[in-house]
This record gives sequence, C-alpha cells and structure tokens, in this order.
Amino acid sequence: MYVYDEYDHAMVTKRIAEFRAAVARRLSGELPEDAFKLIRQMNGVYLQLHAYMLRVAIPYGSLNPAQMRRLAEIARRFDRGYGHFTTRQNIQYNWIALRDMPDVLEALAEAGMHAIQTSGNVIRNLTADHYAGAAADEVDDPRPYAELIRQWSTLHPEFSFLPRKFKIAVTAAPHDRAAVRFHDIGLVLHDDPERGRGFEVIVGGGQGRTPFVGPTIRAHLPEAHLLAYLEAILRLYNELGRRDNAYKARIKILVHALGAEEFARRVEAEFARILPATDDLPMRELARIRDRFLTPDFADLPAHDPAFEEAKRADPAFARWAARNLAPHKRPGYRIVNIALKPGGGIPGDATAGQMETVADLAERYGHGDIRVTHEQNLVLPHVRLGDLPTVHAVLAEAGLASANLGLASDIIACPGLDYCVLANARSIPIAQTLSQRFAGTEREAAVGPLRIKISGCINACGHHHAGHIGILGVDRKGTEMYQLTLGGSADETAAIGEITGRGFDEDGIVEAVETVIDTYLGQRQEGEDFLATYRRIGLAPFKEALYGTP
Amino acid sequence: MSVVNSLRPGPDQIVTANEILSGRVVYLTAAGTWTDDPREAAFAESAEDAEVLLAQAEAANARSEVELVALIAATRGADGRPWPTRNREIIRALGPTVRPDLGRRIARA
Repeated sequence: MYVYDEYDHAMVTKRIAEFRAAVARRLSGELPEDAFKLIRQMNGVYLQLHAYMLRVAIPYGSLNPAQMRRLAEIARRFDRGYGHFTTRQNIQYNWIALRDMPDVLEALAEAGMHAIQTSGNVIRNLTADHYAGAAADEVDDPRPYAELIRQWSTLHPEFSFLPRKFKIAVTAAPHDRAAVRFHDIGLVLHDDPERGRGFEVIVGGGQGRTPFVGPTIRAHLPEAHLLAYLEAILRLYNELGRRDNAYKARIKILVHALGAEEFARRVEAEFARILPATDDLPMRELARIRDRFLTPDFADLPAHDPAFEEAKRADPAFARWAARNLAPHKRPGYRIVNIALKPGGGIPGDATAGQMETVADLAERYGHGDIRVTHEQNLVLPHVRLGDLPTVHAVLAEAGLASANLGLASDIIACPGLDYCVLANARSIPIAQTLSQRFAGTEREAAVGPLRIKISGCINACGHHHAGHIGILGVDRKGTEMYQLTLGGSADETAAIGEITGRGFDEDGIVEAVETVIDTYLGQRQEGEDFLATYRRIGLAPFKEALYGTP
Repeated sequence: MSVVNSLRPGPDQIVTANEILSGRVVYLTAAGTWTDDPREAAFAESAEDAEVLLAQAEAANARSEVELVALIAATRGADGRPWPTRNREIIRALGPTVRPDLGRRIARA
C-alpha cells in the first residue's frame, strides 16, 4: 500500500481549494455551465440521469481499511448509503449534491484519496492485476511501477489535453487478470533470463464502438526506460490522434490506421530521440516509491492448516465458498479471498456503507490491512491466513457478502446502464439481476462452470460486453430496449472480441437466449471443456442455429 | 449550455433540466418555477409554445439555477396532465428502476 508523502498531500489539498473556488463561482453564476463542466469533469464530477455522480480514483484498485471506512462514511453522510464499484477499479457515488463536492473531496484527501483524472481527455486512473503483491504466479508486485506511472501522469502538462481519454493497465503475471490487451496501453512485467527485467508493451486495445485486441509493439522494454517509452507513445498520439471526431479519437484508431508495425517504428524513432536526454531518475523514483509501499509482514506458516480442513468438512457452505472464491497466494499458509459483490438478484458492484465497513474490519483484523477492487466489480482481501478463513467467511456471510460464485454465471459485470447513466440506451442492471436470480447457487450454475457474462447499456462498452464469453449490448430500437448478443469474447491472455449472433432480443427474450446458448454449450461440450473452449472448438454456427433456427 | 438530448421545439413537449445545487431532475412550470413532478410541468401545445418555454429555461440556466436544459416529448395522461413518453425520461422522472426505494415520491401517471 502506497502512503502519500507531504508533496502528494499538498498537491491534492491545493487542487481541492481550486475546485471549491470554482464551485462557488459556478453557484454564484460567475462561471457558465460549459466552462464549469470541464473543471468538474477533471475532478471526477459528472451530471448523470438523476443527479451528480462522483467517481473516486482507487489507484490500481488498492485500498487500506481507513480508506474503505472513509468511502463508507461518504456514502452514509453525503450519498444514500451505498457506493458502486466500477469496471475500472474505481467507486462511484450517484447522489452527491454539487454544494457538498468540495467537502467530499476534502474527506477523501484526509484518507489519501482523490478524484483527479477520473474523467476528461487525460491519462485516467491506472488499473492493475487485483492480486498484485499476493499472486502465486507473478514475477513481482507490479504496483510500484503503476504508482510510478500514476505520479508521472498526474497533471502532466504535455498530456493534459489528449485527443481522448487514455487508459493504462499493468500486470506482472502470465495469467492476465487486468485485461491488458483491452487498454490504450497494456504493460506486462517479466524477467527475461538474457535481457533482464522488462515489459511487454501493448498499444491500441480497447472496446467501445470499435473494439480491438491491442497488438504488442515491443516484446521487451527494459524497466529503466518505461517512462521514456510511454512518453514517446503519448507524444505520437498527442500529435497524430484525431481530434475532429470523438468516435475516432482513441489511440486504437491511430494504431489501426497506421498499422501496428508503422506505429511501433514511429514510437521507436521518438524513443531513440529522447533516450539520450534521460537519466536514472525513473529508477531512483521507483526505489523511493517502493520505500513508501507498506508490505505485509508475513508469518512463516505451514502449507496446510487443520482448522481450515476441518471447517471444509463440517460446513458445506464454507467448502463451496473456499473452492470457488479463494486463489493461491505466493506465501504458504495464505490465500487470496475474493468477495463477490454479486448476490443472487443483486446489483453488480453495489456495496452498502455497512458492507464496506465489514470489509475494512476484516482487512484490518485478518488481512494485513490490504483491500483490492477488481475490474470485475468485486473486492479482494489479498492476504488471509488459512486458519482465519472460517471466521472471515462467517463474517462475510453475516454481511451478505459470501456469494460463492466467483467466475460463474451469476458473477456478472454490468455497467450502470439506463438506470443511472446519461449515455446509456438501455438498462443493463435488470438483465444482470434476472440472470443472476436464475443461476446463483443452482446446480445448473455449478454444472456450467466458468462463464463470464458481461452487459453494457450502450456501445461505449463500460460493461465490457465485447470481452464476455457471453456479451450483451443494450440498444434502443424505436423507443424499445433491445439486446444484442455476442459470444466468444475473452479478456485474459487469450483476449478475443465476441462475435455478434444475429438480430437482437427484447428484455425477456435475451434471458431466454442466454439459456439457449448455455443449453447448446452443455449439449456440445467435451470432457474438461469450459464454455470458451467449447465455443472455440465448434464456433458460432451451432449457437446461431439454436437461437434462430436453420437459415 | 448543453442541449445534447434536447428535441427541436415542437408540439407535445415539456422542458426538463437538472437543478444546479443538487443535480436533481426538475421540470419547468407555467409559472416559470421548477418542480420535481413532470405532471406539474408546462405543456407546449405547439412549436411556438415550446420555444417560449425553452427561452425561459435558458434564462434560468444563464442565472445558474439549472443545467442540461432540454425539451422532451410528453403526452397528456388520463388526468390531462403531462407525462414524458421516452423510456429514458420516464426513468429520469421516477428514479432508477432497480432501486425503487430511492425513487421520488411520485406515482407513475
């Protein structure tokens, strides 16, 4: 967990004072709507369907218990008792009044948080593997690198007016949990036996109206050159990215237009030009940042714990949860605990103030003070001892947080959709609720196995539908909500964009269509196959036939 | 001012906006005040009516009372009072369909 230094505090405090003055000028009528809109957006404040929405940055999804308690307090004091964890590891509040925003930002700053660059055409909040620092399969903790990039990109004068928003994701594990190939820049840390530590650099991935799986433009970038290389990429984008059409302004369009090879050649040319002027500042900064990360003081534990094994034998609910929601930890005797914010029929990603406080308490008492937010709208306690898991599970169950469905059909990603979002064309949450009501905790869900259902309420794809094994896109057809179905998408290291099945379905029809797709999969799968494996073997045709009949 | 979702002035329209302090959804009344309830909104029978209402709302925007002023389609309900016709605007009027407990205390027309 990175701890702010005096400089960080001073910068954020100054920024709040500026925003407080801007709000006062807006309320007095001195600042017109359009001028204020730019200012509020740069501070994470949107005007949504029903009210103002504040998006708070949770850098690389990392929180400490005090920060989580502060988020709960803000939900209770300034909002309506809950918050919404998003597909970019942030939290959004839906009901905060403009007059309260400066006080909320101050409350966040006291806990080492802010909302800077959570909106606007800038480098947005960095995302990372939510198991970072705990994962058994990672090369190293990628968060110090993410923090280095965060500090470099915050209020960067050259990159404050990019053609469009810009999203960077970092991982250090071969199994991609950060969807790096669907970001403007994806970085994969690795240790090369000959070339040393470095990054694979992926550029130009993204979803939205024009989805692309990002190509690799550099297989190995030495870690010391990370910032110089990012600067070269951003500079090229700043110069050549389109500004005449918002729909064609993301870097993915530029990379596609030039071709990945030509784009890489131009980046390399700029990189070669600026490299001689760089020194070892990034590496010195990285060392300083590492010093400000509080790393857990792990105990030496045996790999097996009798209390854990006994609890699994005695309590079937605990056994199911342990089988589904725990992930291997790099240290013996520890596990990563996934807290699914996906109760059957619930709203994906929503948590009440009380639930946030429960998670904070558990993290403090049993989790080395560490909490993560995942882009799949769940929470994680990354470091929990085996022997503490029965207690942790019992407390989570009491708080309605023990859904044993991680990665299953009812663990659905859904954007806020037309229930909240000013851009949406259709509601996405009710579809998620109906599907999760049907599947959560059922034998059918267990039989289906790993399945990623992702739902977006418009083509901007905040619900990541392009990357869903089953993706659902809400559209407006002459005033009626309709839903388009895509199959075969994936956000991991085998990233793929889902294929559209055909004509869309209405609200009831889309639920039945998902059932038909699942029936088709169950009828066609071979021993050991999950949905994606079956889809990749048999392709779209059998699903189309089941959905629409023989052409 | 932003008129992203605004219709061109026409018959069967009402004016909506967001109140600047709270962000809450409001509608322009015939008295030139703002109300939470679309049934209390001034109903434009013609394009000329709509233009007059829009001009009033734009003046309120200039006075920093409201944001996101827009003309939206409406119809008269059984009681003769206006009600928005588009799904999006009905959700704006009633609150999130998935959290009826957070909706406003107005019954669907």
